Amino acid sequence: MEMSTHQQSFWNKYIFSTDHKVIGMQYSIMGIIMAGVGGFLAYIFRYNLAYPGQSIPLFGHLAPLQYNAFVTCHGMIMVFWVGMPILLSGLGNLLIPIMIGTDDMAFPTVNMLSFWIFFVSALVLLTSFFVPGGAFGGGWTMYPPFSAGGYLNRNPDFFKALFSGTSLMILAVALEFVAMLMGGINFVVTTINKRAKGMTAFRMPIVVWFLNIASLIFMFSVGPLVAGAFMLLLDNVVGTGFYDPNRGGDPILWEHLFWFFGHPEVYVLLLPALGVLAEILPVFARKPLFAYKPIIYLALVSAVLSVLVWAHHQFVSGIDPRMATFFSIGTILISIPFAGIFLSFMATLWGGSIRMTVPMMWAIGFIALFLIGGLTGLFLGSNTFDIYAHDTYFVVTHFHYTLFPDVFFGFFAAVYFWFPKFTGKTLNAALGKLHFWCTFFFFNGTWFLLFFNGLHGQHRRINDYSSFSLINMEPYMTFEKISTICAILLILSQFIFLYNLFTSLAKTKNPELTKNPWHSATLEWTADSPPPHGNFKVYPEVYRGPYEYSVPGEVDDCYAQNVPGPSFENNENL
Amino acid sequence: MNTVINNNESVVFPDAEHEYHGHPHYTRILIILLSLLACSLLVGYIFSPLWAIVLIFATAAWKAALVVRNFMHLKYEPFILFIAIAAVLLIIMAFFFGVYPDITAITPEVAKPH
Amino acid sequence: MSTKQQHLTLSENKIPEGRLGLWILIAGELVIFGGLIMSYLLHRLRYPQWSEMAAHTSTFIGALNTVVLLCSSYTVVRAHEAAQKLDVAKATRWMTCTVLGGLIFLIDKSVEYTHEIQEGFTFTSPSLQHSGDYVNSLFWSYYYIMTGLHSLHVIAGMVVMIIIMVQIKKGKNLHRVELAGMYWHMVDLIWIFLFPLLYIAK
Repeated sequence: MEMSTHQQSFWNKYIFSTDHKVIGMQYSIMGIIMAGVGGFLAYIFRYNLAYPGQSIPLFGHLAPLQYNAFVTCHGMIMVFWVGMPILLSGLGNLLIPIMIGTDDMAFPTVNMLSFWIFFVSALVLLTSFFVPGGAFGGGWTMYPPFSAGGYLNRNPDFFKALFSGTSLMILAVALEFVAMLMGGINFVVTTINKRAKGMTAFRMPIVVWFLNIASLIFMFSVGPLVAGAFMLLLDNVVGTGFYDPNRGGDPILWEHLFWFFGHPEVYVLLLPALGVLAEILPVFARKPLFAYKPIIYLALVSAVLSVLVWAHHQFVSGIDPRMATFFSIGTILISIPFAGIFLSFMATLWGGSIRMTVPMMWAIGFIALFLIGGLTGLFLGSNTFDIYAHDTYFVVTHFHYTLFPDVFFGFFAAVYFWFPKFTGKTLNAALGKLHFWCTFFFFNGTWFLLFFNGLHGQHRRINDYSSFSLINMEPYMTFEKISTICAILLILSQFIFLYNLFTSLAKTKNPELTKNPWHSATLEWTADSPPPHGNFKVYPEVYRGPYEYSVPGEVDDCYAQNVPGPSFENNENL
Repeated sequence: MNTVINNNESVVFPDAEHEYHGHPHYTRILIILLSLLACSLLVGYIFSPLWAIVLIFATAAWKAALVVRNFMHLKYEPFILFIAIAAVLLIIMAFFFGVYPDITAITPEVAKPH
Repeated sequence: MSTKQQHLTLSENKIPEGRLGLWILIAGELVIFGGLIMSYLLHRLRYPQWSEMAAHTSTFIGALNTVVLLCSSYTVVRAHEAAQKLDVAKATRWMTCTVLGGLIFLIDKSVEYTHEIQEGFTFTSPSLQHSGDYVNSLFWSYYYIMTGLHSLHVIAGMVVMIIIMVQIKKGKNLHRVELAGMYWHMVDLIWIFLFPLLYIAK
């Protein structure tokens, strides 16, 4: 049966496309561009921390209010405009339809709209840098009163208030939520309704499961924050008092509304990246994934727990101490499912014939670094320690050790793994390894030493300690300088990746070589590479689970999911 | 009425969903809903305030259940969808009880207007 | 590709795509309103004095609006029933009734808002003096944001309804009558909870 062969114009094919692969790539490219913006902001304030008061190369002098705005926007951009589009929307759009063996999303037009709303949201956020008063600078958590028409951007004029940095940031976040909600509905409906014949729920690859669980967590926890953001916008623009204690409101309410979404958001970002690991590790260990079903159940448990632990971000903001204990216990409990998932990844590697390819290196690097972030998270989950370490660089370092491996190592693992399939071209492996080692080394150089600065009490929101004459920062400035130099090198080493990307894209397509270069068993590798609009020539039929590796006597050492034959379902022994 | 066959442009029902569920007696449901509304308006005059509140919200929940089950046809949907909707309510309840000690259990003084 | 092939190869599922997507959307909307209602409830239980504020809402108009919304829900399920029997004219008639119901609802609401604003209860009014004590007027902020957001959903539902009426006049997308109806029922559902919270419980 022929696929649609009609010629599409450039606009329909690459810009306003309804093809899930093009939309996924649009999301990823937008994420990379925003990562450039976020990285540049990080460079500016990181430089300022090591050399306070000095003029910054490529930027100039950094004013304190600008410092606040840049730190805030760095956090916002990296979580909502890099992590979310790359991991949830980018991977979800690229992988879900092709991995479950269908032609496209359930609602392709909604999918296209979702990207363009996201695009507008990014523009709104970037606009906020150029309005009078500058971008919002009250921390990425947007706590009132800073964000509620309060101190930083006070403006009684309706239109001036509407076009202030604060309001624009709230609007941008709201638009982004709308885009992600549309995408999430698409993911879930596609997965439930459009699976290929024989693709039962427990034959789906883990990444599809995790993307769907992440979408569901997102959709079910974001609601209160949407309502809260609406209230915050009104506080800011028309002057209501939802978060103003003088008027009967309460700023603590915003903290609850924010973190009720903000904490599950961590798992929204983490689960897709873990799914990528679950795809990569069995392929390069040539072993079935250890404990397929328990991994899914553990992820579901973590999804349930994730909406019950949010207030561990608020231990010092005056919440009820009894509740603090409850949230502490919940936080420590939630490490159990994730420890389980990581242990089964370890068990997958155990005794496998491991091939140290570039995606495998990123995947293992992810596990190594995330371990440090996860373990420090246990300390911070306990309220007694958190009260000591709160708002210090210990916290900042902790979440960079979780989110950086999660977003960037997860993303690069996915790029090096699936790039041949979706472009029909190959990336240079030597440059990939160089990119990995530079990133790995300089990331640790940037962050590891700051744990000690944090334990000694360096505060995360102070740009220049020289105003505090009683505090001697000299002993800690060495670490700051090492960190800054490594951060600059970390950013520079990403140019290796960009160089690799562009030179590879300039090559000619090689459909044979990129058809199934890793000898993987999942469905996307059975499609042409790059897959045409509609993915498959004939809809595949699925006969077994996704991880049938080390099958003696088979050509590729594995059973592809769509090859007729017996179903071992060796995953179900557990 | 299974005769409408999917045929490209002239699609009336793209899926075989017209036999998907039956129809409850809508008029009867409407009458029950309206009488429940009347009850919830009347209980305030009959019972003590506490009981009135309990009864008012009980009737509201009953009305909501009637609308969801009959008008939105939840009773014809697979059970898993019911679980999903119930999960939404549980999430909202979790939010309420997590925040209750920090907002409701505290009564600050009301500031005078300035 | 032909649609026939797709039906042969794709997984069998009881819920059609449109309905499933709409159910998830409704769940998402319920969480949004749930967050708002819970924030209100937390403050309502914190300030018993708010009952004096709630006494100023018009139970009559609120009850009238409840009746209007319940009836318009009824008309839209009848429209769905007619659409399933491929009776476009009847479906359009019932949907017109629903849109009119939405219109009556909005007119009631604006009459109500006018009264309240004339009495001095606005979105941003400062604390009000009530039998000697000052009572904060946050109640009115919550009242306006909850009913206002709900009214926006009523307007959105009406717009969707009109778009689908135009579509079914051309004889296509009859199954979407049910989807528009489901959205409308969700609007009704939220009002069922807003009504006792804001109008009856005093």
